[in-house]
Amino acid sequence: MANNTAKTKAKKKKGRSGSSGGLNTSYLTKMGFRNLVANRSMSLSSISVLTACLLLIGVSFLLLFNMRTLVSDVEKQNVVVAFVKDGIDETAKKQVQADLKAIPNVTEVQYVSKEEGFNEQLEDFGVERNMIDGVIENPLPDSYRITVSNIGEFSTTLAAIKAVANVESVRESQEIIKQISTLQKSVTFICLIIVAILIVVSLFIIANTIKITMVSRKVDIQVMKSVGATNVFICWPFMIEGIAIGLISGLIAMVLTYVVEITEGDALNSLFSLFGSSVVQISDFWYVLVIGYFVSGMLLGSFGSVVSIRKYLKKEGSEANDI
Amino acid sequence: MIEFKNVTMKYKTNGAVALDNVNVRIDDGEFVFVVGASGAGKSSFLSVIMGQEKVDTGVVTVGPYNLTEMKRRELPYLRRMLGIVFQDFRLIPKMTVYDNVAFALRVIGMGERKITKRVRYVLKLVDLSGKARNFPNQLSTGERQRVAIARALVNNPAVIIADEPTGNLDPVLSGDIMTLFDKINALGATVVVVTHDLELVHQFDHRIVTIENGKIVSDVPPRSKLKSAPAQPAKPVAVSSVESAAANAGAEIAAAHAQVQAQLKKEGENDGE
Repeated sequence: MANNTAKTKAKKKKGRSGSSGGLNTSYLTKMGFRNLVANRSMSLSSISVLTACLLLIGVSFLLLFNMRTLVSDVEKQNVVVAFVKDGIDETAKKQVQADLKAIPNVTEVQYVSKEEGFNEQLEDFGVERNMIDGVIENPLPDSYRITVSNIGEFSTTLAAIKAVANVESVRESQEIIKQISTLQKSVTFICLIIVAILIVVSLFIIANTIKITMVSRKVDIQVMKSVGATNVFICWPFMIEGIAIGLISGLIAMVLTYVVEITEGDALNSLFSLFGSSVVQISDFWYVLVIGYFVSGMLLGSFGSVVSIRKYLKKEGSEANDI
Repeated sequence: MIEFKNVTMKYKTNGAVALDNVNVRIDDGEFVFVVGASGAGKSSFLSVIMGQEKVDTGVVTVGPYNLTEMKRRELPYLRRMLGIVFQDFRLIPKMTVYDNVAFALRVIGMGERKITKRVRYVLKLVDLSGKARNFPNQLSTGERQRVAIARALVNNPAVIIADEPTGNLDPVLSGDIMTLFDKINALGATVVVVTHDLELVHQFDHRIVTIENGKIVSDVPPRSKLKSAPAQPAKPVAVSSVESAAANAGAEIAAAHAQVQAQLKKEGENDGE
């Protein structure tokens, strides 16, 4: 028990260097899980609300992901047909093809002779060629099927195609493309707003839970401070509690996302098939989903804890009124 | 060593003076009673030592720490060299007596084997070995305060600070607790006890610092150090159990001292390993 100044100095040095054993992380982690169980009603309500938030965030991202896939699929089908002037020679046709390929945003240029074009049209109408031979003359000129990569720059690309020498006319479905593009932008915007709001809500919920826990454990914190606990020691169990809440919520949200896919997947698929696309299967990127849910749950949990603890840690004292 | 040099402190809330040009020095191994009426500045005096409050002017030194220049991150290390005992015990209700005491060692990251050894030793010292598995609500008020003292002691602090430790206790238990502090002081720790119970203070032969309106108005050394001091306490011990406790204190202290010397020697050997 006897302590002289020299001994105290040595002790000060020893304490700081952490040679007295450092942070007992296993004890603190256990404490965090114990708190989670001890405050089970609070933990349960946080998990429910956070699960709902994570689920909505996840569904918003899935919606965004699928919209992008849909637009990308439509873009792939996005063929502009450029008809060339009748009667131009092979050299001029090759020049047209070269000019079209040189246009930015054009990914593919495919030559379609007037005969091939006419046969395809008849096939689309379900008419046999021999039925109309001698009755109707092929009215189509030779053409080029041009695939555009970015719908956003469609108007500029179209103008460039029209400007190519010996291109007589152009057939395109700009209206549909414009609508899909606008829809994609709106969906992206709305989803991002929803995600931002939900992140704030989630943080608020976690912070509130931890805050209530902290108020109920005021004495523990006072005692911790009075016996010389560092901020890390005080924070650790609360961080564990927040992270555990986030992880459990992430797990439940993931299971629910699977359930949504199983029950609603067919309906969405038939909707997407109208545009020649299909819903992205969760099984195709399950690892992204697992990481996404767990990481966002963990981040929301730990950040929420830090937000509420910060205020308490700024207090230096250990008196009841300080907290 | 605790030293206040020209210390002045005002309350942050209303700007009133809490400590007014305080100059005092408490040497290692001293036992000091800080007395005064409510609102005199006793608790502010302790708050400054504990690093809860910053002074406006002057210099405060506690052991190797200059509190006026100390950084916030150093505060936990200052508190590790202090054993703090509160009037309301501040025990964690969900923890057993053992865990409450062990908590102070877990905070500093001590290994479980060492913790077990130290906690057992300290619980024996405060005569609570048989209550290690009890929860605070299963203890009497006197026992709770002894658990709080055990927690303050377990880290082998240089200074024990007690803020009205007998405020919630009856005179019999108050006497017992003070005898325990006496015992702790005999083991070498500096003890600073803030109290307004003058009757209790006079039962013991220790230095008495009196604070009034934030000023130290008297600083009386122990009677045994005063040539003219009476051989007997100024006020007789009123309660028989405390009398017997005081009578036995000498023998207890001697026994405990021998025990702690043996323990320290053993710990020194272990640390050396």
